[in-house]
Amino acid sequence: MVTIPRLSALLVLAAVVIGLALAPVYGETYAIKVATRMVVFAIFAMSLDLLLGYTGLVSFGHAAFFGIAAYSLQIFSPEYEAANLLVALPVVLGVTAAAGALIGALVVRTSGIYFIMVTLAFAQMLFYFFHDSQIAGGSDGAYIWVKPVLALGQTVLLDFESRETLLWFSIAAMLAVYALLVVLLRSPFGQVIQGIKVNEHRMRALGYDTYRYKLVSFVISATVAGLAGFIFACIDGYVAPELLGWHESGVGLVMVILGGMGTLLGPIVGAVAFLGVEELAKERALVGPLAENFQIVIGVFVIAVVLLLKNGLVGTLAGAGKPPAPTPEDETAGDKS
Amino acid sequence: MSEAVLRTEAVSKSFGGLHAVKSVTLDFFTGQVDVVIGPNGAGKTTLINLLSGDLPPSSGRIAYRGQDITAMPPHRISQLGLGRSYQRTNIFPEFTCYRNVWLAAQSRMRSSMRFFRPASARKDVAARADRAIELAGLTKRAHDVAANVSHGEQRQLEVAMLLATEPEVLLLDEPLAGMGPEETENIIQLIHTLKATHCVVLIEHDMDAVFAVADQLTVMVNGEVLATGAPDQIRANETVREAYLGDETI
Repeated sequence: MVTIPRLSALLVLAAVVIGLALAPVYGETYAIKVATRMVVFAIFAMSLDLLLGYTGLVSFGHAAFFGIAAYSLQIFSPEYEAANLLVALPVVLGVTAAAGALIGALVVRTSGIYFIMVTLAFAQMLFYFFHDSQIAGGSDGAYIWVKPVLALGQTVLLDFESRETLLWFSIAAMLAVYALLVVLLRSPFGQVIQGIKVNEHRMRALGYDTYRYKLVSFVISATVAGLAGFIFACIDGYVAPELLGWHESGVGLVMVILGGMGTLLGPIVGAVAFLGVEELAKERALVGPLAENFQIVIGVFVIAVVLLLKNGLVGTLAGAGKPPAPTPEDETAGDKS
Repeated sequence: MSEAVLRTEAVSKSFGGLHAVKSVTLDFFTGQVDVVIGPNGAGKTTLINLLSGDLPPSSGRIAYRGQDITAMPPHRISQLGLGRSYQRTNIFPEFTCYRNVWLAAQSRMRSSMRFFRPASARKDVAARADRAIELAGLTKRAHDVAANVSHGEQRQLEVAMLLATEPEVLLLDEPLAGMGPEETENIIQLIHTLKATHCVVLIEHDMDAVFAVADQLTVMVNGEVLATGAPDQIRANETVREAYLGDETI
């Protein structure tokens, strides 16, 4: 049986997870915050990879769903007490999925460059909506004063006021998303979207209503991006319109391409590498006066990777995460298990 | 002959000022192979595109088993049981041949909105894919990447993908172009076998092949049907000789 994902991919994933989980060893607050942000963006980049690398849809407005989720949590959270995760998470993901269905129903009708432009337009519309309206502080942003907890009755199981707890939770969420997407890509649905990426016209001729499959993929992707936005809002307890901006969408695209699109593991590695280089480039001890303009260092790093490694960090170096395909070997092995 | 399975009524297609298909009325039946011949630019492929829904007709009506399919999108026409192959190879080049055929076979699941169990667990799909690959004579290349197999094998893959959707009407647009003699013989045999239970519409340039399989011949020139009838009638037809077959002895 073709092991999907490959052993090498799982080893890289394990190394990344262990590295991130060790963040509390390096420092109290800041290191944990950085590690959590890496995990959040890893989830966000994986959601984008489902569209970019597996469905063939280049969304330049994916931060919209990240931001909608963050704002939903802010609006849903009571001012003086903690929101319960058991209610807040389904509500936030539900709102994001609904937004994904609404926007997706319109944008998925377009393709290519038009799809890029229309997704960007929707995200910018939402950006200005939160920027100019009085909902949640307008351009100043707004705070979540008490962070969510996971509580059963009166027993608090997880409290996101604790930075470690939030980090563990986010790592668990990242692994769950990874597993979910692997399962999804092996399913009949996953085979269809991958076919659409390669040759949508042929898929239609074979009898697939490609619009519906692209829409469902878009909604799933938006919902996963919403999970990332939810956790992000818990890091600092602060949301701002910039979360929905095109810059955030662009960062997501860069992470996916940096790590290698269509690999799932790539976006995780890409997010960690991007934010890791950003942190290093801000260290005066390492880069000297360049620390003032750390974007230059990131820019050079991204350009170097894109030029030297055609399929991104993971696609080229690990050769891991080939798209799963059904093969007869799969079945025979499936019989034994 | 019983009721026509597929019927076009005065179907036309224009691209701007170019009239690619002009008022074509034809009936297609199960149990026979209808071959459409004609010079390049006669509108043969456009006719197939109209039948499969890849292009909407400018006017006229197309009916499949009495049901109007004129304005239907291609995926619904495919689900009704009309399958086509493409003249210009239209496959998933980066997938293996097996995976190409798998996607074709999977399209006959009631719905592919199945998210959790692996696709490979679907024995019915696997069986359909295996059978189609075998019929098209592609078994030994099944696990090669489609972009890497020869042109002729890609043509066989086209046929395998078509068969995997288990259509009732087979619209074959020059399936033999680029195939070697052995594969050509194999596909001709296959068409002979399939025609008992299928309605086959074939576009072909290879005259030996045409007369080997045709039960009914339709000659198209400049978007119009010049003549239609049994192969012997067409062979004897003076107008056809002048317009198309020329002095070529057939």
